[in-house]
Amino acid sequence: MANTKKVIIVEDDRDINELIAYNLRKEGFDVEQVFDGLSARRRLAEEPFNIVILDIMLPGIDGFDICREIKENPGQARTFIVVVSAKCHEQDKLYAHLLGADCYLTKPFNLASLLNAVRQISANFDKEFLVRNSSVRV
Amino acid sequence: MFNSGLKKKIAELNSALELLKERLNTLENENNRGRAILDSMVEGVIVVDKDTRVLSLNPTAEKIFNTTRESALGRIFLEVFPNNDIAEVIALVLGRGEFISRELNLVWPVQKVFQVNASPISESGAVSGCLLVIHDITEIRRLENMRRDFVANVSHELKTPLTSIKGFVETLLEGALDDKENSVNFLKIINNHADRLNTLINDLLDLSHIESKGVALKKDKFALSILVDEIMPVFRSHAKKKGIEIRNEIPQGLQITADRSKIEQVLVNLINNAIKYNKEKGSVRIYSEPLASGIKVVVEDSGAGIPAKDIPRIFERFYRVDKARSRELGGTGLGLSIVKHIIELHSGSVGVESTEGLGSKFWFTIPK
Repeated sequence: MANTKKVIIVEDDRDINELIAYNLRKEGFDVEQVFDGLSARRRLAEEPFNIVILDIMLPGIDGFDICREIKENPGQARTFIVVVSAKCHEQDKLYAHLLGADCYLTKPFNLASLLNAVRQISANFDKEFLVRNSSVRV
Repeated sequence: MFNSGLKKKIAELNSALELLKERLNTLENENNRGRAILDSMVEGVIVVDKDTRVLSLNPTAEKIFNTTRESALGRIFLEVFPNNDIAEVIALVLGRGEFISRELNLVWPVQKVFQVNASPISESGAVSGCLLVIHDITEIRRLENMRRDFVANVSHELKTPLTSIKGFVETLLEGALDDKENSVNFLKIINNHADRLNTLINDLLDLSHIESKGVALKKDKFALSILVDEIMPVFRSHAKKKGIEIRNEIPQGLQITADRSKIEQVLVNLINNAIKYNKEKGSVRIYSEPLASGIKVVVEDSGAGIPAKDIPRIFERFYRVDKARSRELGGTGLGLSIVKHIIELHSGSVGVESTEGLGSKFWFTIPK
């Protein structure tokens, strides 16, 4: 099944944003890039995304706030959040998880780990889709 | 008979009085010595009785809580020092008769961090009071926080370029090497970030060298205008690309006494910023103003200026008005901090005046 899932990358460092975008596009994802918290908030309010790749230290609104807002929005209940941050303290990871982040990678991250996480999340979506469709048939 | 008996008694009384006087003297001396020790202590000392009435306090305690001995003695602790955290410690000591040591973050009546050591005073087996020794550790905690923030900032600044380097190398290894359109660009990005790491490490080393107390200035008398002319070629190509005109308006004969290589670093950092944050076809002016106490050197640009809210923090390490822009332009966030430290080593001062949209004037002074 083709990966047409929508991913938004929220990362203020242009090169890192580009790095993630290049690799996810290669995997077949529909990728959108934003570079600050405010644009992320606006885009996430406009339409649902399947996966959010989220930096924490952002200009304007930080990643923790974005995380909370996504989880508080019923329309985004099925959105997966992958945090990618240079903050490496356990308390930051815990905080992100409490706010609803599904995965936390610290910078510098392994590209393979990031791609694996996204692939797994994506496979999960496919499984859910099949289960839902089969139950409809029954 | 009677007389001699009386004389003897009087003599005895006299010697007893002498002894008493001596004892009193000794006691007074001891008391004075104790007082002197208490008075000279950097810690605040307060003694209260079992009803928490203040029996004694030293000058440091007076200073900490902004009170006086006269107004404090004999009053209930909470009346004099309206703080519940310390009162609670006293109550615990009086109740349990045990030594207690606590770090307290006070907001009222003063905003400070204290290490409070409280011991019971016992008389014939019963607790009759409490001795408080209060150590002001606000500055120690502040420095610790600063150091922690600095380490966090440095690691963030190091990790960001590393993330790009590692990520793009992995991308190339995963097959992007064959992507002719992008692979060269990826290699350029890797190269840029390696350069950035190098600049950052150099700036960190400079800063740590300047900050270490023992750094010796090699002061010389030299012509400032010639120094400015000498460093111009460094900026020529960058300025030409943006069409920026740099004018050295320092008077030819002006001489200053300072560490030449350090002042060179100050000027390089300031002129570099003035070009980087300038508009296309803008200008940079370097001029001086005589002061009664020395000389003021100004580097003026015609760039976007600095928002008023950022001005008080602009010389702080890693503080950036526009983080993304600064990174794009290769800034480490340490340049102005280095400038400030060098000038302060020369007992001068630094500052900035800026109007948004019109430009900024960064200045420093060098005393005679």
